[in-house]
Amino acid sequence: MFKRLRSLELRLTLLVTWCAAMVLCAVAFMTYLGINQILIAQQDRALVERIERLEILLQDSRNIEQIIARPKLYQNMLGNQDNLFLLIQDDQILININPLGIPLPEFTHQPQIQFQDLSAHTYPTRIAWKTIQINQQPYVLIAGKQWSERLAIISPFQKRLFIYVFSGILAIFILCAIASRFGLNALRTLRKQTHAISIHKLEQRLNLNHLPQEIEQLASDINAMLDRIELGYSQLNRFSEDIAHEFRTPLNNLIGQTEILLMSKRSPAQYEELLISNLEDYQRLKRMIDSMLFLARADAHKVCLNKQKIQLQSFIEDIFSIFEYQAEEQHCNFVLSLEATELSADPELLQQALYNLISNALVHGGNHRTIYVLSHRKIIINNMQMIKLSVITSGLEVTPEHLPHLFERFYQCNSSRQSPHQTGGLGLSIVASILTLHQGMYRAVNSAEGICFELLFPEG
Amino acid sequence: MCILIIEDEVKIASYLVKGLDESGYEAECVHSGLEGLEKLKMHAYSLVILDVMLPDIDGWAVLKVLRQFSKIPVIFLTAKDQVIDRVKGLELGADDYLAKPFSYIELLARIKSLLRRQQYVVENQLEIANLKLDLIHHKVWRNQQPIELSKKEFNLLRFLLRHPNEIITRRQIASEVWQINFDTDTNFIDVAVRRLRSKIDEGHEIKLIHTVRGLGYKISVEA
Repeated sequence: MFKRLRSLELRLTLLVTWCAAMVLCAVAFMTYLGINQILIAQQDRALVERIERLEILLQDSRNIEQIIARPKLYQNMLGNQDNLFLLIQDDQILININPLGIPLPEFTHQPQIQFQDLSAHTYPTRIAWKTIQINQQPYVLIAGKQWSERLAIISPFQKRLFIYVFSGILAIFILCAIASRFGLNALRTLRKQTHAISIHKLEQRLNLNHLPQEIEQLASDINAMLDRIELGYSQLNRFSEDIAHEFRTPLNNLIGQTEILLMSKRSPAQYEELLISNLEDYQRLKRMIDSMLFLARADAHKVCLNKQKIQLQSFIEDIFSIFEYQAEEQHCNFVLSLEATELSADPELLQQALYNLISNALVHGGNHRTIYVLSHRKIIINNMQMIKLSVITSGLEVTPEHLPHLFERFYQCNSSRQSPHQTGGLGLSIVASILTLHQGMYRAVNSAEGICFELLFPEG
Repeated sequence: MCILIIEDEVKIASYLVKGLDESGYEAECVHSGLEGLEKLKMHAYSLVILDVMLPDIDGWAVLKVLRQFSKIPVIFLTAKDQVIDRVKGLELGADDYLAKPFSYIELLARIKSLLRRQQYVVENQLEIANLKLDLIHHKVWRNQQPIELSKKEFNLLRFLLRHPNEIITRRQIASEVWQINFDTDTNFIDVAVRRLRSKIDEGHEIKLIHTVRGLGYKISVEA
């Protein structure tokens, strides 16, 4: 039942029906009251007329005496069953036409016409009375009319009204149910279309034609979400494919070399050679697994940051010292220029990021380059104070079409994968992950000097 | 010097026993935590290598019980190298920690350093054959001839001299001399060692710095 109540269609129908029922009932009630009032007013007018007519009639004292002398005559003249008429002087009832014997209350003297309902009796009656003066004598003139006349009109009217209201509500309920079913049809279509989308058909989109505006917005939001999911999924897919491929290369070496060696008897030196070569491949596999684990953890925010204030001068000089000899052999030199001298970051991660960038610069830059590491004064981006580090390799450019993809996992500008010294295309994605962990930003641009990797670390 | 290995992976346990045996240590292995505790109560060992994932009670529990009756050095092995594990292990009183896959040479170095820790002496001079290194004045002589070394070269030589006749992996050198604790390619270490070697060994009949193929380097009189 409660589950049914969660249906939008049913809720809409019930809500509209409820509102309509309230309005209809109110209108019916007002109508009833109105008619009743009109009928009462009509009755009262009749009573007033009768009293006034008799008052004029009775102004003649002769008439009174006649009336008193022959009350039956007046009874016959005035009365039928449902009329009531009395004339009272002091305690003496001069005319008494009361065929149903309705008990009357005590009357006080009132110069204006008064009305009263006598509803306790089997035949409820409305009476009007007035004190009139005849020959300076007060007489009470009472006229009455039974309700039955009014009730004969009002009660069938009430019954009809009841039926009209009820059928009105029913009609609204049915119409509303049909309307909301029809109106929400678009949702059902949407649902059907959504069912058709699966992991194998991620390229499928919801058809936006002929949808009502609200549903169209929802559908286009869903489509946008699907775009993002498809992109993420295809990246993930490519990532796993790349991983498999990257693993295959060292494994291929391991299997091939070992098989060939085992095909015949070899000298101990040859076995040793193979084991050493194998060990290198194992280490390469281990490095890749470590990198991937790091990326996976960074994605899931499972890496604990150990943020510290870092003195950049000595910190970066230490990193340069790692590459000292390699740079010398390649006739490259380092230039360090600092505007900001301090940075708060995880030292181990910052070290790794800069290591990867400088290592890349030396591997891809080749000989005779200058590698600049610059820090810049605080800048404010999105209300955040940021410190920018740039690593620039002089004279080296990256084709603009590659720039946005440089930080993607396993992305390589030239498709050959023959570079055993590297992390196998994960170096820059690790840099990206490190910056993401620090809630910083990163990008690669071609500057006037050469390719420039910018790292933005939030301050504090 | 007997080492107890508590490790449920039979292959790892058996190659560790074999390796430690060759390195001059007596080693025994058990494959479950309770068995391990039993052995530790019965016999006096000088060090425990403890795996975290064990079939009956895990390594944490073993360590907790063990610490109630013994201060024996413990090296933790685990496939989960998350920081939280590291902190947990050290808080519970583990003395060192290695994540799988680990290099045997590094494990050996940690074992040596833990066993040596008890008898550590402050030296101000290191030497091997006719090579002398003065730790206070940062000076180096070979055959009484002074040798000029850069800061990193000096640190590298000092590290090798503190572990004479031991194999030192490139990773250990990276961590000790350059403070690099993430996995990198290690070409720069080969270049650095090559430079150091040319300054130390060139023109001398007895070579001191040796390459151990596939593993790392070693400083010793004999190859």
